[in-house]
Amino acid sequence: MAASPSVRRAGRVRRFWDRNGPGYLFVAPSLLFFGVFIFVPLGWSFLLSFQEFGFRGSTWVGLDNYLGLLGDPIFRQAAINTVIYSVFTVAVWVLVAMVLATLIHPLPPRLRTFFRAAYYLPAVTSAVFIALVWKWILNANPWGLANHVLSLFGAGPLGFISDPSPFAGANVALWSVILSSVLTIPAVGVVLYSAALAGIPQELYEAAETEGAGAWAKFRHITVPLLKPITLYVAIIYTIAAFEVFDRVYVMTGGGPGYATNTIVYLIWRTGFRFGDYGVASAQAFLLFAVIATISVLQFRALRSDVEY
Amino acid sequence: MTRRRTAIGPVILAMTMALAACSTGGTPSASGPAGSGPAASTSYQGTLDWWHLGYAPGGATASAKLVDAAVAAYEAKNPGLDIVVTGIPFDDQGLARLDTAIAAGTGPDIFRIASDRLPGFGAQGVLSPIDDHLTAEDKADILPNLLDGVAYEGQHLAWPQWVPPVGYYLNNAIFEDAEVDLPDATWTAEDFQQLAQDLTADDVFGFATYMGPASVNELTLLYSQGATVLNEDNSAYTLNSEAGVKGLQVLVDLFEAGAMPPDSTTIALADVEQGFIDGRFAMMTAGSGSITNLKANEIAFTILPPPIGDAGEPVTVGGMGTYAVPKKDDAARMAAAHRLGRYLTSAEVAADVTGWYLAPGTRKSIKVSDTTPEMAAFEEMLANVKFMPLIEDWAKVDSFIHPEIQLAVSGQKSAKEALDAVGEQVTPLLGQ
Repeated sequence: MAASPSVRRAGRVRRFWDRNGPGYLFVAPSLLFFGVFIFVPLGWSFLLSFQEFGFRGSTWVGLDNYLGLLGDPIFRQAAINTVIYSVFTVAVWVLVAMVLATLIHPLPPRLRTFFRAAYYLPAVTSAVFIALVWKWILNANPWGLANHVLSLFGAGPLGFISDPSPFAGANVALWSVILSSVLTIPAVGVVLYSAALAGIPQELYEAAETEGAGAWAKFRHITVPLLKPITLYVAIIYTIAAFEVFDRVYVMTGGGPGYATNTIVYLIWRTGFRFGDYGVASAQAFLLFAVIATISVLQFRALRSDVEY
Repeated sequence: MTRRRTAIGPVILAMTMALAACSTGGTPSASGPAGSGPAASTSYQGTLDWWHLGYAPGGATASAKLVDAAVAAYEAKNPGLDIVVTGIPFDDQGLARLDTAIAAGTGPDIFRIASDRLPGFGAQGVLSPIDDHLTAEDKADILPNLLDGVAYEGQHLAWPQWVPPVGYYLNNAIFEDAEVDLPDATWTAEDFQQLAQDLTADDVFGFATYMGPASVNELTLLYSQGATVLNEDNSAYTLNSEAGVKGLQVLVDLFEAGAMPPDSTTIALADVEQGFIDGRFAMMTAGSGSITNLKANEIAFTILPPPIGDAGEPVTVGGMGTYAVPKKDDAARMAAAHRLGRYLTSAEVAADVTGWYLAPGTRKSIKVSDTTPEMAAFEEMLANVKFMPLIEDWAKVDSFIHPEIQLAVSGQKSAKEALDAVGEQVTPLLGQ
């Protein structure tokens, strides 16, 4: 006699539970935490982006917050600053991380471990502290470190982070902030590339050497292509980090002089926490999310590969 | 940070992050019949939650010690009251936490706040005005222009405590080294400009001022010329007047002449004071709060009102420290909070707690210079203090002013262009 549909369904549920139940139980606390503290605020924030926020009740304004931002010159300036900052820092960070990891890789194990640890230091150092040090280095006063060094050669002083004069498509202050970022070792990238380099079969290099390939040829034709999956990952995480730049700007320039170093996240902070305009701040955050998501997809399409080794 | 006990209550505010709000649990009130006058407060027995910006429990800072002493003195006079002080960070995040908690009804019974944030609370209707609790003695004692400084739409929203006007600090040693005589309170804008240039030398800049947000220090030079940010009824932007442009031009000229530090447009407030202490800045703008730090560093200094410009008298700007009481259902508890607010802003607390006033008080009965002689110069400025406009969007207006001033000072715009640009951003706010 065939079992009824309800009995069959109960059997399927039981089998599913027997097979997957413990797994779901293990991840449940994490999922709950993620849901309550990430998804709920995100969803609420998305709704807020269509409202004029008020502590005693918000008003639905449709797309006004988004449309207002598109016509806001301060937001436009912040967006341009953020894009310039991100393009240059991500490109340099990826390159520097790859080159440093490649230089470390052939070293004896102890030395390699030492350099990996040393280069990872910026990742475990307070970002605020690093920014404070750079603020001192790039201080526009004669007693700023960079200006002091320049004075030894009879040059300077330069305005650095306090100079909003136009320079190379942006302004001196923004380029100074970019300089401070690219000269801070991209710690995570170095470690990731180091791990990836260890996975490249040595035979490939030996075969290339047999064919007479030099160091540059090996780097260009073996290392770079085989690191492509990691490059994709590093580029995406650095793009996200660059677009979210805040602490460095907050500490070094406060977004100034004028709006010279304003970035989108700095503007989000200012709009939300200084003005209490949580609706507009949410709209800014979701525009930023849209930009980052689009760029990440483009990066994925451009850099994805089927490399296996 | 909470003295005695803390309970954390979550207040989630959605943006891209959640804010945790700290709320102190109070013992259930044993309130008597509801009432709003001073008499009703005497019937309240129980806890009063007091949120204090920058308070650290256990007397960790000088101001925390003062707060603890005031609590002890007040509790001794009012048996049955248990005052729980909670510190919140004195920054935007701390203030956002305060806003959130008050709006959610989980806020304190009383809190200290600068007067420029009162309109925001007033617009939300979350504060209990002091009008019903002001006695005839209070009205006669509080300086009228200072009581006006807490008025919003016909109501007085908070107990005015003190006024830290912006003064000009002169480093006596640098004047001595440069063999330049110290000016007196009759100095003019031209005198000031000349002095700043005369005092500029190797590693010394004549003048430094903070030009960042949430401050009005650099505006003293514009107000001295007779400028104001808005007109009297706050309906029109007026900082781009001839007086405003003339005042800003003083800053522009000083920067261009090298009499101000090259990082003037990005210098932090604390760095201005540190530069003064280090002997790098001959003159600086600061409130009366700097006196303690300068004395601790054994700096010899002179305090003057801002130089006299076309306004014809030494005009300065300032904010006001106040104590505000949020609305709550328990009228007796609210009345008790108002009574505490009156005490914390009175001459009585000054008698109980030595050094309570770190800035000139708002009442005629308070003479801070009796205990801190350096404060005399600030007390003399009180009659000519101009407050920033009490409007709900002041934080936005403030944030539009400073970047444009920075652009003018750094030579990217003329003084007129910069102040006009502020107007383009501010005017739409006034029309709302």
